[in-house]
Amino acid sequence: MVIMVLTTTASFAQAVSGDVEADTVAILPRERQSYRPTGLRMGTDLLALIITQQQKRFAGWEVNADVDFGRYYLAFDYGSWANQYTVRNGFYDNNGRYYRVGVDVNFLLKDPDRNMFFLGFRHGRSHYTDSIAYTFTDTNFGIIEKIEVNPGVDARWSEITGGIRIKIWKVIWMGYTARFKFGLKTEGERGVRSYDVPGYGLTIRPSTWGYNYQLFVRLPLPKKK
Amino acid sequence: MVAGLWVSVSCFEEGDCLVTNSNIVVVDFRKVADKKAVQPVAISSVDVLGGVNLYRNQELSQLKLPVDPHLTETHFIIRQASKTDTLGFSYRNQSVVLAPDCGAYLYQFDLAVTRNTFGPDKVRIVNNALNTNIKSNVEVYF
Repeated sequence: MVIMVLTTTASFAQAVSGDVEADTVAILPRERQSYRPTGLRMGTDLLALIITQQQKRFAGWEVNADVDFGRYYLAFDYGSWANQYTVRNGFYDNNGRYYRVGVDVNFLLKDPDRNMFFLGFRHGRSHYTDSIAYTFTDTNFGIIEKIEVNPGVDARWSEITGGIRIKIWKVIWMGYTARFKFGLKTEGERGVRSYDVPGYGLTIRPSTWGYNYQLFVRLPLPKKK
Repeated sequence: MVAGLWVSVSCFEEGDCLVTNSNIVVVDFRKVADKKAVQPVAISSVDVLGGVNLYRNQELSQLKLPVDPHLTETHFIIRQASKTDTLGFSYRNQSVVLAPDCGAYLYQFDLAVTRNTFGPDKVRIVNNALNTNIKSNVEVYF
């Protein structure tokens, strides 16, 4: 009580005198963070659709959704991926579905439109088939023709994500997501080692990059009355 | 910056053509009495069972035995002046794409002895993968 009175008196004195610069720091009560979701954002990866149109060897799509809990966003991706590679002595292809689930953390906390710059992580899972057909010549056993199929492979991996989400108009949003993918594990590979994993990409290095350009619709969730 | 990133990512898309596959089982002959040192052995002939002749009338301390990529098991007949032995190996084939420009190659793993007339304690697998970096897969003691 005494402190409050003294503080108030001191402030009043400064305001009255007018010749003292306001070098005091205002201590405001910390704004309480609400974790109540305000909107569901759903969208699709335009890059996957464009590449599907432009390239004969790839066919795929991906849908994305997230929902906010304060500065945290629960994110979910689901996609389809079929890729074909003509290799020097044959042909490799795969076909499968994948999903990723994770959390993004928004670093633009005071944007009135809820635009976001985020970093996050994902856990990815994929189930697919892949096959290979090729020929080679062995000096002792002649020409070898190999056709190998993995009928059902399960893969899992981790991702560190980063990107932006920007409100374009009313409920329409766009976004970029960059993905650093690593820690790939596969189960069910038989006669062919997977060269390309749906949702992950090429397996020839221990880590890889992915990129999405997304268009979203954000549906506001009803507010608590 | 985006173009630079795209180029750098594209460069990493293709693997190097570092081809290390081999269907050769490397067999060393080692003499127990001489502290298991590699020793040459007089070989009359070595054949793939039902197929190719690999060696004839040579003194060798190491055999390079090619397994059949069509199959998952290959047997070899090893003839010396006084006896004939059989060595059979099972293995798992796996096709690997190194990169589209490099092509696909067949690798053999999980090498195991399935037939051995040298004696149960005379043959030992020291490395069960076949590739060009491996100096020895099997040791035969005499």
